Amino acid sequence: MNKGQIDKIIGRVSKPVRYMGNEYNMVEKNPASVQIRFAFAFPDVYEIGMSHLGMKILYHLLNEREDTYCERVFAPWPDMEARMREADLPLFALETRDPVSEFDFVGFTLQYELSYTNVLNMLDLARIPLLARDRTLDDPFVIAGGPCAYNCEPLADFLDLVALGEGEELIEDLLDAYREWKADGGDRDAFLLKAAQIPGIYVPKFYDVEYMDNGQVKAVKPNRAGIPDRVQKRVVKDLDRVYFPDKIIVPFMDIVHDRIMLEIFRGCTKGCRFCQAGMIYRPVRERSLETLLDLADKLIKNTGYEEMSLSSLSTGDYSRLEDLVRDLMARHSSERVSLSLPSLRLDSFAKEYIEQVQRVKKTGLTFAPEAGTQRLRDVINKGITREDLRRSLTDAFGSGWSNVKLYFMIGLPTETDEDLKGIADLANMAIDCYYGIEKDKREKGLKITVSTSSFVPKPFTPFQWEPQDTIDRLREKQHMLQKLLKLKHVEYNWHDPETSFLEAVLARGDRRIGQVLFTAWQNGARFDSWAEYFSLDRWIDAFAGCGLDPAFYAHRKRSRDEVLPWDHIDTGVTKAFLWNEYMKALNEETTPDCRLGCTGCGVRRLGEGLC
Amino acid sequence: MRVLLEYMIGGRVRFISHLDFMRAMQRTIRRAGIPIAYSEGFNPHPRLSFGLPLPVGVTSSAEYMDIILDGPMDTEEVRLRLNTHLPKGIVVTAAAEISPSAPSLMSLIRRADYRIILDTALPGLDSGIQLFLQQVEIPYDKPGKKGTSRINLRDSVFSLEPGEDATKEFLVSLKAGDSGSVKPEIIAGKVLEFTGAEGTVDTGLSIHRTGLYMYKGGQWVTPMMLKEG
Ligand code: SF4
Repeated sequence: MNKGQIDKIIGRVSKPVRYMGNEYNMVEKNPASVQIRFAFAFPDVYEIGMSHLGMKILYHLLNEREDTYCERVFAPWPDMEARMREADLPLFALETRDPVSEFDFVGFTLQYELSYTNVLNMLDLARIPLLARDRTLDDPFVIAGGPCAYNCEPLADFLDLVALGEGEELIEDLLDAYREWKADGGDRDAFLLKAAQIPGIYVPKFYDVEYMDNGQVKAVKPNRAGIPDRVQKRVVKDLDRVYFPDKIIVPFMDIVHDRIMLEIFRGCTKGCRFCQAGMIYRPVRERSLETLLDLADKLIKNTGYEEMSLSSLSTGDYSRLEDLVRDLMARHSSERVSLSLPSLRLDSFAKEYIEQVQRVKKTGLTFAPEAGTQRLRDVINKGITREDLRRSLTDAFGSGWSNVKLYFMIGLPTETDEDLKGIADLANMAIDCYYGIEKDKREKGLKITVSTSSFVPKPFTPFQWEPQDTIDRLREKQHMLQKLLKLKHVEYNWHDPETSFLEAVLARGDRRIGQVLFTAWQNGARFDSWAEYFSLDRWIDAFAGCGLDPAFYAHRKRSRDEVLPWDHIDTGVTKAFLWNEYMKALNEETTPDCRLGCTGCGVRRLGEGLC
Repeated sequence: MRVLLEYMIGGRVRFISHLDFMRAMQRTIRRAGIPIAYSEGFNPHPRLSFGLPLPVGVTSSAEYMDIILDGPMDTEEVRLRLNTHLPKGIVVTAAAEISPSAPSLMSLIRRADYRIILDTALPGLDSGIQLFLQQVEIPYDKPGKKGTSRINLRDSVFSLEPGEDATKEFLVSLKAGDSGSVKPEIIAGKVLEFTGAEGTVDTGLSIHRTGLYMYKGGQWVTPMMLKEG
């Protein structure tokens, strides 16, 4: 392959900058001088992948190693794919433009289920055999991590290795093992066996899945000696000591999150029962104020970014948020760096922060009550009351905001029409809060955006046993809300229930779904998270072709004793805790934030002094 | 203080859009610690303005922008600092102080010169050029914000001539900055059409902008002539 040809090709596609590389802070090394070449692959388009914090961390971390060169690769947009196939151009890494197939590792990060067909497509474009069992010593090892890796059974046949939990320490262990294996010589299995000894590494091929006649999983068992029955996720103990980059790539393109993301803590103690992130990222570990201020200084200096956001699952819960915001403002507002607090939760919303942030830049405000009534909020353990919301909205309108967004989910367990009416009720309350502010003290142009997503039951959550509403039922609910929300100043947005349905199937899929993924991909599925490329029919056909029923995965209620396809993965949170939470949900009982006292989720087992 | 910058864009960076470039410049200026001035108002933005946007995919040896500084800084210092902090492929070649009251670059630049190189040699290229030049009227529907408008391409061209290798290369000097201006690839397409080798445009060509000019004192000069004193 003549690399000059690449420029000719990208000169003819939309947004060539996606394939260009050469951004400021891109790492350049001589590939001949390293022992390990790692392609960090994000199975979506550049502007999405480059917005992802985990990728930034691991990219720079891997490149800290002298023996390793980590490069990036993203899913080529369909116009680029067509050109590549036409010109017989294999998938290449952005940095050196070398074919990804020449690398030692291809590491995919799995952030959402609807990116799975892109994984297959990228492997195919890279000319790496799709099935792990067909790969030889000439092929890279294909590894996956990220939140969807916890139940990556649908992708199990395509992956050599899976990394569970936080990658910073695990990846170092893995690469060390790889170098040893390379020095020793041996076949692929020899390396996989070695890797399977590393805590947090799951090698799907070393586990056999048995099914019962009714289609449920009977058992998942290791098929050779020395392989653990269950694989436990990795957690980093001390966020002040773990690596965090002090420079990051500054893309030319206007990516989705085009700013510095300062990760202030990991984990969440709120215990919302629908939230997979809240369960799998436990426990809470904070980065100290000093570390954060130091990182912020360096990142601003090394990137020139004009915006910074604080990143975590629940920013309002950072123990020294007030100090942090104040100090960051004091240090950087003269440099005109604006600070945005994206996942600010309204229960921890303080007027002072609003004003601090406002000093630099005024952005829209988002609140996520998730459910319309107190009853349903108790079911999902979202500890926000109507009063909390009223207060926060009043504060916001009183401080000069006139544009707010309210996020809800529909299709939650036990939901009734009353709960949907509750959504409209909260929208009306928001209007009242606005008009409750004196006319000369409020900003003009009230706009309330109500958005609903459709609930997708996720593995490793208390609702992992729950059926999802059917597409028809979700549509009915959306129609009802369209009527209820025909209000002045209110705009209603909803998500397409068809994609939520597929998400539900893939999220709780077992290994047999792999054939469906393969078939759907062969029939043209890719970029499923993009409405313009998603086709439910293609998926329905693929399921039919494989003799599997998607409703079995999406709409079936599981029983307590059912072996779930992901039971051999241990996130630290026990199944018993999740079941107990599920029962409490059905009884409309709440569980307090575990910062106030341990509620026994099980994560403590992962290490001394974690929480 | 107002500083005029001349810079080159080469290599892979040619694929960035004008907006991408503006963002990159703003961030470079911040990294370089250059005391750029900000506009007043609710949403202040750094005060920098550009000559003529460079089309995506085109390289250039002389582009121009000017920046307003809040405080004094030696122009050579500005240039060196920018070069330390710029992404690969962009190099500032000159910096000079200009009068704060000088008109905007956008309004001054009237001519843009290009070198167009074909991937593969085309023996009829020279006759295509001659044929183009012989025309009085070459109608072209120029796309714009409010639909297309019919212009005469012949009027958009100041000069057109073969380059060093007459079978692969030609030089064109185009009107810039007004309604008669067109993108270089449009002219390239027409020239190729006149060679009779239609459809070969897609075999690929590279376009390089060799200069931007303003008309001053009866001659074409580069914007660097705005330099004070
Ligand atoms: S072990 Fe206890 S304190 Fe730790 S995350 Fe679980 S519930 Fe919270």
